[in-house]
Amino acid sequence: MKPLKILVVDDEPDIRSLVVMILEGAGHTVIEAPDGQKGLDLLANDNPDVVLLDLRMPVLDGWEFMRRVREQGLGNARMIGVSAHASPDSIREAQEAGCDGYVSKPFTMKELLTAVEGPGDGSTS
Amino acid sequence: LCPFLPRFVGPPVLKFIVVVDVFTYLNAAMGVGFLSLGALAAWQWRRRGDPPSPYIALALASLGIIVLIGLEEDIAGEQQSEVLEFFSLVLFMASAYFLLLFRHSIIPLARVWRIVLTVAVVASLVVLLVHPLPESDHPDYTPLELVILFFVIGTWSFCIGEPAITFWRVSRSRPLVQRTRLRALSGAYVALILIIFVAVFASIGGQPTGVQAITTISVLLLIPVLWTAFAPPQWMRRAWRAREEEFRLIEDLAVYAVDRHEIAQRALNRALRLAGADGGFIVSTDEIIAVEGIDTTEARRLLDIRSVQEDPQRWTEAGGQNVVIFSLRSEEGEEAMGLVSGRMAPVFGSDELRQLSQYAELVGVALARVRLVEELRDQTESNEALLHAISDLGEGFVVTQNGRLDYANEAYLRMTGYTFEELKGLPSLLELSLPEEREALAERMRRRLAGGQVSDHYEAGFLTKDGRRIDAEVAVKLLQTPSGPRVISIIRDVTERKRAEAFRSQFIQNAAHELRTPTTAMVGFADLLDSRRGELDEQEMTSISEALNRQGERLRVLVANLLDITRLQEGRIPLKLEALGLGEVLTEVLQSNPAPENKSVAVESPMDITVLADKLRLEQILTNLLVNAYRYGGRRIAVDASTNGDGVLVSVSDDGPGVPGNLMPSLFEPFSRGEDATKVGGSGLGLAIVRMMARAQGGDVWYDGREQAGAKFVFKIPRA
Repeated sequence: MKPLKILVVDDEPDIRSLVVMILEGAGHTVIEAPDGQKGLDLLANDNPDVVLLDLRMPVLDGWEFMRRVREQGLGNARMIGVSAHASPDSIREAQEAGCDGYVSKPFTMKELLTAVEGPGDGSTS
Repeated sequence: LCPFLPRFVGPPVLKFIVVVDVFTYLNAAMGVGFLSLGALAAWQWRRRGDPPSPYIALALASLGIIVLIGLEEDIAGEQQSEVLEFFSLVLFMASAYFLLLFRHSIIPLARVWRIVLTVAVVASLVVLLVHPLPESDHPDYTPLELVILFFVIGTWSFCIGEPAITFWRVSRSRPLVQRTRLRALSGAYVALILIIFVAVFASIGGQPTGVQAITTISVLLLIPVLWTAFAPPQWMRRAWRAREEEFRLIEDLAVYAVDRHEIAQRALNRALRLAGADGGFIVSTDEIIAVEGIDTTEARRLLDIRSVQEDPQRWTEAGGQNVVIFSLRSEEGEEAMGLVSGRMAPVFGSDELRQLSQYAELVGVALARVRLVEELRDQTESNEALLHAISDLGEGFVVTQNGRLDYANEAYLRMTGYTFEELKGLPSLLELSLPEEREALAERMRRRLAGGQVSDHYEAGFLTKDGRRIDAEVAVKLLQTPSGPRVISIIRDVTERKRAEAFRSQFIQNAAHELRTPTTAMVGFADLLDSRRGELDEQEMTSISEALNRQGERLRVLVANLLDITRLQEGRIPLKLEALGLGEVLTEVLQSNPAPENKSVAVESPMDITVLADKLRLEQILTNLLVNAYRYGGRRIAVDASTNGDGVLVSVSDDGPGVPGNLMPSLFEPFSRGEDATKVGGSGLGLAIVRMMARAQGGDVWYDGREQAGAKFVFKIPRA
């Protein structure tokens, strides 16, 4: 499958390095941001295909991030929300806020790749 | 004395024959009068069993016989025989002696006096027998004869005079009926003395005929008075009672009906006065509820005797007392009033009995009424106790009618902060409800009053006087009362419980969230190691193992903290308080938690203070505050300590940015932390644990934000 450019926005350094290893191992390019503000800058400048967004963060959380994305018309990338809440309510809430996909912590490699690459594509990589 | 007696009936009649006849008739009337009185007293004794009456009968009869014997001389016109004269003397002394015995039977005479007087009476007679006094109109007594004369008259006077004085003296401390009776007796004794002396005076020769006639007639007139005094007739006894009855018995019973014992005691005392009785009791179903003048044992004994008597209402007791027992009208159990006649007023005439039995009826009614009142009061008291119990349990209890407050217990007033009067003034208690719930609650009440199916339990919020919101569980019941439907509500304050539940739920959510990050890292890296084994280079392996270590440690600390908090919240952490050198503990803590490379810790005071604390927990407080400063504070960290009263204040400060204002309110709550906490690996539990531990050891912790630069945490701990 075609390599993707993926923006990872997460405040936990270890989670970011885990995600980077998994995604780079699958052949994708990864750019990182430790908080929402830096994420918005990278989204505007680097034009990623997919944004992997931790919904709960200090400074500027996932929900605020997506509101600004809509406001500033930066909506080309696929948005995938990452959160500790796995309830159907949380997933619907994320979708309503503009998420195209959802991953709940803790996740396996396969779950993450499936969410990023889209269903069906993961098996061919 | 010999010359006196014949003169008593008057030798002068021989000289004045016409007058003599009149005197003879008068004297005869007097004699018959005394005898009749004696007979009446005897008859009364037989009929009523009045124990002292025989003495009166004998005394009066003796006097009567003396007078009649004297008559014989008048009629015969010659001197009496010596035997007859002496017999008169014996009767004369005997009459005094009987009167003394009567007094003794009413008010017992000291034994020594009884003996002395008995001897004196007998001695008088013996002396007179041996040495009769000369008899003449103008006797010339030898000195010895004068002594004998005075001795005999003295004895006689004493036998009658002493009782007269005693009766009067004793009467002063007695209730009205008894007092009157005793005074009448006293008067009668005095009258007797007067009669004798007047008679003697009259019989001394040389008196004008007119004087003699007046004195003799006066004596005759005194006889009926004597009669009323010794055996008071019905009308007289009624007159005595009349003043007692002015006390308006019925109203007295009704108005002062406070409790059964008091009203019984009151009624009994009244009955005692009314009858002039000495003692009595009122019994109600085997319980003696009032007793006066006798003791409870005696009352029981009298009751027991009653059951074996033929006429259970009235009998004469072995001790010579009259006892009368009235049944009180009563619907339940047996109630009776018993009266024991006094020695002072020994008569229970038929009139008294009728009066008392009417009174007993009233007492019965009054007692029944009081019993009702008492039952009502008992019920009210137990109801109130119930309400108090509910109040003590902290449950609000409210009765409303059309929404208006009727009753509110202490607990409800405490809960709302209003006074009863304030609540009573509200048009509806709904005013206290939350505005958004008011309409629904009103609708609910309408449906309930209309008989609709409404659950008896619901939750609702309301506002206190000072504007706090209270969450309550309410249980409601509709009560139909004569004045319309009332609503009874029991209100339980569940604000604290709700808050605790919310806190617990938030705590669990936060804890789960905190666990997710290290778990995610560990699960993810393990998965990565498993599926990319061999593909990973050395640098990747190193960073994975470092991340695993970091997150493993974070997990360990988090779990330990969570356990600590849970146990602290439940108060399950055992504390071992001991005297500890603050400096030594700080040194140990700094050794195991050294400042990171770019930071430094300065200990600013000698730290030679001894505190009373649990060593492990004190170390944990210092560690958490220091690590907090390492993570969030500036480069220079300072620890200071000072004493303050019986406590020690320890501060940990730094020159960093300080705690942001938005964090202040929840600074010591679990899972509250600064925005860059993830960078430094805080769990948000450190300060919460510090506060719990400080408080558990009798201290506290706070943030001192007065200094512009940097953060300053101060904790207080007791001094050893």
